[in-house]
Amino acid sequence: MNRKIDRRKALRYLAGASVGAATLSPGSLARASALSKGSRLGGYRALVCVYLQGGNDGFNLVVPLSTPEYGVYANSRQQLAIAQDQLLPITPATSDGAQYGFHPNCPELQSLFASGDLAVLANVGTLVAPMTLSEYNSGSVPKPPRLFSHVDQMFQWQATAADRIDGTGWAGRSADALAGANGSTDLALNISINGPTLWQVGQNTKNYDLGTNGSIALAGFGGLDGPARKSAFQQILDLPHAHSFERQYALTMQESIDLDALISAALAGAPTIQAGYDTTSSLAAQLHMVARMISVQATLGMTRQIFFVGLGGFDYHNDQNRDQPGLNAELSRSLFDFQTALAELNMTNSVVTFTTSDFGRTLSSNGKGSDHGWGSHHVITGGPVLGGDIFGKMPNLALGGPDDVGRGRIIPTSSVDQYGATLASWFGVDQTALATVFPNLANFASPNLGFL
Amino acid sequence: MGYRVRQARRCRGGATAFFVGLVAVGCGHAAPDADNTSAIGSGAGGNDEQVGGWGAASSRKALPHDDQVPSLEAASRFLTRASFGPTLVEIVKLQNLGYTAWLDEQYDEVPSLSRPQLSDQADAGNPVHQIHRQEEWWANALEGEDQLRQRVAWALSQILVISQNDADLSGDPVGMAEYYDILVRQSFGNYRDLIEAVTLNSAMGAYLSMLKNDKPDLANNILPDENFAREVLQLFSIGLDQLNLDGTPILDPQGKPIPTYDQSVIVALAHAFTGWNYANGQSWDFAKINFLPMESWPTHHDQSTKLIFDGIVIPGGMSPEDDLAAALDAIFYHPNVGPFLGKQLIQRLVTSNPSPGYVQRVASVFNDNGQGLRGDLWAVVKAILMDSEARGGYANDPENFGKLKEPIIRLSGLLRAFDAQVGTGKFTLPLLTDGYAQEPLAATSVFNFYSPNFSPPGEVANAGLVAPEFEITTHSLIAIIQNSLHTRIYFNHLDDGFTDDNDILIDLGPLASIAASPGVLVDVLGLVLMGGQMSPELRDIVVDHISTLDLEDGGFERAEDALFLVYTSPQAVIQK
Repeated sequence: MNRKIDRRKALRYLAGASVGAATLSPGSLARASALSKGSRLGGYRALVCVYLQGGNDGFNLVVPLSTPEYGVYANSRQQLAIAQDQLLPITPATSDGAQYGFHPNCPELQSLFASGDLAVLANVGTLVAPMTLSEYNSGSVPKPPRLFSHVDQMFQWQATAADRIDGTGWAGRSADALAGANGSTDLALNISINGPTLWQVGQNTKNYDLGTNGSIALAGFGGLDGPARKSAFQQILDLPHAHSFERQYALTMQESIDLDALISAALAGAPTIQAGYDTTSSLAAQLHMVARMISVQATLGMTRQIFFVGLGGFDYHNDQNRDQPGLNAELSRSLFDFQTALAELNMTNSVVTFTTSDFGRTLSSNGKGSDHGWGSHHVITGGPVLGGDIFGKMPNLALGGPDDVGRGRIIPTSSVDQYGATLASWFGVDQTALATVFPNLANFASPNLGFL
Repeated sequence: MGYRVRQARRCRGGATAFFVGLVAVGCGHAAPDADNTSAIGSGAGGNDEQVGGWGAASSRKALPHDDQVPSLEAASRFLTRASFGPTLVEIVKLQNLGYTAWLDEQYDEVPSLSRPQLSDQADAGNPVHQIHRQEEWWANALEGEDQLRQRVAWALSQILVISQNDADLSGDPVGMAEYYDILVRQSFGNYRDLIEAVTLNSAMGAYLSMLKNDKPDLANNILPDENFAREVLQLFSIGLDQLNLDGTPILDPQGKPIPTYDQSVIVALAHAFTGWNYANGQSWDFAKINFLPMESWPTHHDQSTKLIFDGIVIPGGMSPEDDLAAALDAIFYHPNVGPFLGKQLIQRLVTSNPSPGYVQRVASVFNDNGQGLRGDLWAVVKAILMDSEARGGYANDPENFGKLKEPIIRLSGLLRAFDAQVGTGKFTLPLLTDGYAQEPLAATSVFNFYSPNFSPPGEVANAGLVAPEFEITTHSLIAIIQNSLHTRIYFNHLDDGFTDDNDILIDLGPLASIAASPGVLVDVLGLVLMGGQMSPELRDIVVDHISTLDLEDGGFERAEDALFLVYTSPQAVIQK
């Protein structure tokens, strides 16, 4: 059943994008390329990155359900294993012979998967080039530098091309490639609602940091005395500052003032979003802010936007079994509620939301939780997603197995470069620019993982 | 050494003290009709050895050795680095004492702690939450006489990080206060002792999960927890790359940095750090939370041989204590510690981009304090503050020397300069609730509020410079903090009239009293808040603006506007 829905949905989507002779095979470069070209002249598109800070345990988000595979999983994970009878089953359009289920606290992800609005990307992570265990051990293929270190792996996820990080990220470079897409507005294509991120740094384009509740106006410039005070404040800001940090500070302040004027005026006319969300959840609140910004994209004159949101707490060294259920629930509900809000705004088919993290986690336990791993499963959701399927290749979860470099740190079977390139292609980065945005993409057989 | 348990709030004496300071710097008798030109000294900051105009006007008692006599401006800049913010009184005091005597006095000050007060509250049956820990922190930061010690502890707390933003620590303010007290007590001690106390602190144990880290249980695929083992190397001691003494990476023939360790070292150290739990536990599984140092459980300790970095072997069969000592000794003697720690302390106190020479001089002192002792943090602190680059860096590199003041330092600087008081005696400052992205011991992760390597995209990054504090100076945060300071300046001062006992109130009375002389008023602000580095252009704008305001309200409107415009200026936000 799901397969049928998926196929219909895919056909509908492809037809909508005016692509005639498209094939349905995942990873079709031709189709991705055609879509990209179509999109450049097309309507609004947005990417939303949900960053799971600390290294999410994706191997407990999507779990083998069929008995032989579950047995391997449970043997590796021991006390960290999710009970087989509690998993929420899914039926991927493409079967690899095994069955899978979501974590029991993720019924919303199960539902989005079933309706064809969510795909799973199996075992993605940082790589310089595809590598086997023997290549890992012999060193014949270069490893990503500083494996298992939080900040370095986060940077490699955000930059891609793990061995040649240059201070920019792939969202920033995508914005460089699409310069001019949003006309002459002062508002950056890249917006973070979770602080600065390397991901959004480009060579030539700026980024903007928005508060969870919107932009902030400066106080103290109202009333009878306000204008004179404001004039003095502005004169000071406009002084030719001698120090580079002073100039940086003054620039950030000026942008904050100018963009607040732009954004608060636009949001004043925004529709009230009826869809509910968990106001106690930081992630849900950030995604709600993204929905509000998307609701005024036309007012703001935005054709292409990239948003960054995040949630902390995924570094499960300690008390994993206590903390993981709540965070998985928060992720699942937040993604679902965001899709509901987008549907209300009639933006379902214009927005793709996807998860990232620092790394996966060890399959083996430290007695209380798990340690820093490598490859991990991730999810992509939204109307354009070829949902209801698992993309990439599921790894062997056996400790000491062919994918384990030790303790159940699993070699990724897809790279973050391919993951990013698939998303960027949909977003409108063309074939030529793709090689610049993802300098290592040619190291991998398939430049498109096919989930879009 | 004894430790001070803070006494009840001292009575209000700030305004008087401020006036004493004004007299000392030569503007205590500013006449109401004085013109708008400066009565005192030049504004531009130069080399700190130069005695400026303010210095000439001061009434020093005993003149120490010449190179130890700071100008008032230099004293203000020094105190910006060495305290939670200069006050006029302290500036004059430093000038009178000279650097050496001031530093000696700071060394002898009794450390101001916070955990004992929290324990007293808990023993009395009162609830103790994180906000109470923070109230003690703020009282010490604002009013502790041991300012340098407190400031260095604050710097260390951003390198050796724990955070209340953690499921295991949020409910343990007492253990976290004990952790901070360790940093306070040992900030002038030896790094080897400090890293051991930090390692064994129960809050750190819970935060980086060395607490209850058990020996392997291979039947259940359980291997020791790598969390503390990894971060103690990566963040607390040696870092990821082998370093030269000057903090630059050692490069291999291909020009690439050389890792200090690999994953096998993390695994080995994780084994070495097994067998520790809360003190006085009746059983391994149910040991109860408390603030005492963790205690060893030999039956839960792995006794295998551990091969760590640089070929160092921790022999098998040893106790938890011996393994721990061997591991910490190996870390302590790694050549990276001096440059790694030294550079970050410089970044926290003085400048974001110290020259390799500056780092090397500080690292050399870490390696040998001159008496053959390694790890002497007091010697390191003095080396950082007294280095020629710290005191003359701005004159030599006026475009890049210095750092952005972090939000807490901007707030503390304001509160200290104008002698903040609160009726209840409790400095309740829930900064995260106010949107600050910074609170004592409340970083998002063990990676602190910002990375020492962060560089804001644009001019700063393009110049190859870092500016860590810009990571929490985003478009939204810059406005939030500016607005918070605005509220404090206009609505939270003693003469506002609409306040209550819970409000933390600064005292603008002294400023208002000299408001008839706009130039003097602005120069006082320039001295206390900007180390005398206000540009003539900035001074003109502020003087011109406040001169248009009348004095009917006793000068408060002029005081508020001048303070607001000066303190929120880009020039004042950058410590130089």
